[in-house]
Amino acid sequence: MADVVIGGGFFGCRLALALRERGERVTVVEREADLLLRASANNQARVHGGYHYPRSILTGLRSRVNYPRFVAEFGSCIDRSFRHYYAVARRQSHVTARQFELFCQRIGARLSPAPADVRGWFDPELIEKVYEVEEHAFDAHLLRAAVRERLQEARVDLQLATRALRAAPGELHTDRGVLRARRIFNCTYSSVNELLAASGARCLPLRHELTEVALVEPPPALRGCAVTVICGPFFSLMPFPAQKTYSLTHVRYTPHFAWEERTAPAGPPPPPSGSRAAHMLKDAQRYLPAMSMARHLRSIFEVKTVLPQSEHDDSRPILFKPCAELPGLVSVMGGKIDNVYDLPRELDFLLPEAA
Amino acid sequence: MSAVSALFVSVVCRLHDERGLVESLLEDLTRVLRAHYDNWEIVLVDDGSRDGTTARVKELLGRFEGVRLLRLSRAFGLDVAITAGLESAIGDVVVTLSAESDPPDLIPQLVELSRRENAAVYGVAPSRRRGWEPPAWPRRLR
Repeated sequence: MADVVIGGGFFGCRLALALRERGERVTVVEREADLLLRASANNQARVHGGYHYPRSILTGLRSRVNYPRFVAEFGSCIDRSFRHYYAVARRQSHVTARQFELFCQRIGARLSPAPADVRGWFDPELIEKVYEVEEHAFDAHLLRAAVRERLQEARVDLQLATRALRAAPGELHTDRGVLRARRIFNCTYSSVNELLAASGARCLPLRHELTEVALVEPPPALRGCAVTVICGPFFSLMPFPAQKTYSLTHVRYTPHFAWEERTAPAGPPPPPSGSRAAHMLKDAQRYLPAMSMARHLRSIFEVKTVLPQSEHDDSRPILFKPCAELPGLVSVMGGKIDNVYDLPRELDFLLPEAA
Repeated sequence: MSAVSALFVSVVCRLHDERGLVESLLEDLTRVLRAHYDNWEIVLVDDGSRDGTTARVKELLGRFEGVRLLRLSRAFGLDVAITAGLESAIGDVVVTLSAESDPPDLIPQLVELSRRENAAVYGVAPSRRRGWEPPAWPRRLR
């Protein structure tokens, strides 16, 4: 009997490979017509080098540890062609430049002061210090192709355009029939609770946000560069390799609205009332005046899901939660792409027990 | 004047113990801004209120879109509060107004005049001596 992974996002697919490496037969069930189409593609495309989490040293350190693994495994999907600058805001930032330096030193993340011409891009009234860092972006199209190839090589069974309806002991009901399953892994990210509720299991506390990533054409001076202003209500401009353009996200404007699930799934959110790209561009100009020459092309909207405590400490732990009511059903969720390397140790813990 | 403009308009408003009128203020501002502009924001600067204004605004944040709350660590006075708001505002044009007595309906006129003349614009209430009839303002009397 095979293991079944529900959700063909990056997490589900990488989990399927990890199970396969342990000798299990695996089927991946995906609702969309292809893999990695939803949250795995609709995000900042940042391969975290740890710099982003000065308020959660554990998350920063895990990113640091997992970063080289991701590069080693999916290096061909990474865009390294740009220089990335982190700017520490002078006001309203949760960390000072000195604290950021100490944090990077502690987690072993390379950091160097930005050259004078780059410092000159920023308003010195609002930015305390600018650093050049080592952080890249992934190309979601290349990642999809690489994952597809790895799954084929590993002979993982794929069932695309198949909607999982509910899990029961030893089987998964889908809109295309019933799959026999030894274990079921619920890797449906923002829909984790829908499957749990449909299966008669208790929901997990989750926080969702409807987010907007604005795709922009950067000003000529910023081509080939990424800029991230930390650590608070600021913004990030980064190459978005899959669409050969740049993404602009803003801590204040990217989440349009948020909601929490406690005891029952909340259902799909209402559509956003409009784009907030103008807000993001206007605020970015205050810190980086050249952004007045940036042009908004279009936006992508997606539901982002985190554990409720992450709202406060900005951490991104993975969720790995065996279901109490339904033995063999495990809910798995990662807040960011390189978190996937935290999975094997959880599998080590789970599998001897299940066997 | 009634056409929706692409201009980004920020409204900065200082709140000092204004718990009771902040809801009607937001209702009026939102009505006017939504009717005239695609992109706008309301920046409320809480200048050390001690009457629960902050809690009231936080409740209202869930109902009104495009509102930001800046909290000063204590009461600094009008000048500092407005300066903090101006420093944080992101609009092409910023309108500052008194929560208590300035009529939001004049915002489009102020903005239009400022753009046309490329100048800072301020409004003056007509003098009572010249036979001025009090409008529905100030807000506290409504």
